[in-house]
Amino acid sequence: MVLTASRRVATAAPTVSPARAPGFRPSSRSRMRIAVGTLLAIAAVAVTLLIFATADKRVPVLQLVRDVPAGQQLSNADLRTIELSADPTLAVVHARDLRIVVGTYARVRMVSGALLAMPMLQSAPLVAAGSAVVAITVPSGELPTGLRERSRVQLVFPITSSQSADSALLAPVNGRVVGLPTTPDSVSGKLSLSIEVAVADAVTVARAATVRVVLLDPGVDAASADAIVAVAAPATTPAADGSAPSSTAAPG
Amino acid sequence: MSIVAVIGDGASTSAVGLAATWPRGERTVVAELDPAGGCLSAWLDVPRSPSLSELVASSGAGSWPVIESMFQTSARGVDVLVAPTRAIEAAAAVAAAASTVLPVLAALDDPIVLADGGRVRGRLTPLVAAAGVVAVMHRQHAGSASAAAVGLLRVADLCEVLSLRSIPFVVGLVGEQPYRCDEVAAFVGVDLVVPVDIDTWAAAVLAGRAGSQRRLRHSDLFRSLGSLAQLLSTLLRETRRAAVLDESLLFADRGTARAANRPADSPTTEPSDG
Repeated sequence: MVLTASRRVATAAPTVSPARAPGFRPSSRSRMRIAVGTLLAIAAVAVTLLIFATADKRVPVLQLVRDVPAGQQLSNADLRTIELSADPTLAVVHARDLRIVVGTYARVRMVSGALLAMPMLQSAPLVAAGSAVVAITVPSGELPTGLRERSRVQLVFPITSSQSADSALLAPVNGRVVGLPTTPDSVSGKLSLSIEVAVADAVTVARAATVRVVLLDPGVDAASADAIVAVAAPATTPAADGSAPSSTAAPG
Repeated sequence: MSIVAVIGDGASTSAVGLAATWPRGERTVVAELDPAGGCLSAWLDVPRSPSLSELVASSGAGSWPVIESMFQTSARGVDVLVAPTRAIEAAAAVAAAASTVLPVLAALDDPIVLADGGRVRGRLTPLVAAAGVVAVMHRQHAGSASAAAVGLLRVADLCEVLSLRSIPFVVGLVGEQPYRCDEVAAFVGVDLVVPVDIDTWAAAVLAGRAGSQRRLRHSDLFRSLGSLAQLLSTLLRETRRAAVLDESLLFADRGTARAANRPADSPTTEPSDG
């Protein structure tokens, strides 16, 4: 049987890898895969580091260390530098901008501990050119609720009992609050308000014995307020010599 | 007589290694005939089918073209006939192949079939009986001389059986601890004991691990398997030569007998004078 098989095999042409060279080819590591894997690992590490670095990124910003009323010029002593990890959209002033903000003026009242923000500052003084600041005393109970610094107000001068009936009625004067004390005077119980008014009206306000404060709509701009006043008091012309203004306003 | 049966410890690794280090000029294929179950499909990354099961179940299991079509060419450079992975299926397929596939393989002149026979447990399996040369691989128990001696006793028994059946064989001794080759040769009573180095990396590469071909070629395992392959090749050639001589003597004896029985007045034996 063996011989028979041998003869049969001899006639069959063997086709098992006739040209194959002896040897063994191990399964090779794909260098491309290794390279891609290495790159992926490096990228993953880099992304992780970036995330952690961003999450822990602390930036130095400016913080107020004392109350700053509106109109006051900022100084180095009002500020300090703190570091915090904040969202980039948070409007803060970086410590590197310290020299920019020192010397600017507070647009609104800023309380101690607050973070400084650019919208709270202005480069010009609070009292603009052509304006004057007059202090008036008002009983604490006569201040309108919601009065704030930079509020637009109208100063009204009522006729007092000491004034004669034929005394000329002073026209209301528009102004803006620039100083608002927090506590009334312990003796008189009155608050002292600083009001920015036109220079021409300053004397009128200063001479007035009694002043009532009317809080205007904050949305009303100066022109509208003037128009309102014009309707109520079409002509108010203070005397040039500093005497009582010759008011032509309509009587009360 | 082209079957080189590789049996014993690490038979699959040795068969693949021998196929890879076989002397140039002789083509080799690996046939997995391990009744304990095949593993070369996984090692060499070839499909499990076709396998020995399909071969023995086919109607042409006794013809070389059909057998040849069942060999798969692996990307590792080894042509292999894989056995089923499961032991029960593999044992049945190997048993069935004994009467159909093995005689065909044994009668081949080319290619040389390196047959992985697994552990034979002292028995003379059909594969060993059909082989031209047998490589008996034995790995010593390096940690215990007593255990190593027991293992060598079993090898000696197997070698005695092979000697009684006049089957050429070589003992491949994996590791020379605790006994050296000469000691083992004296103990077992054989002349041909070839040391095979223990090289776990190279063995793993033969079993499918990724690695450098250059490093594998220069590994200790490859070098020692190359020596064993050279010796097996030489033995196989001598066995073939002896078989051819026996065959020619057989035919000569038959011719003499036929001539002696031929009638003296036969017209075809001697030309007529006339």
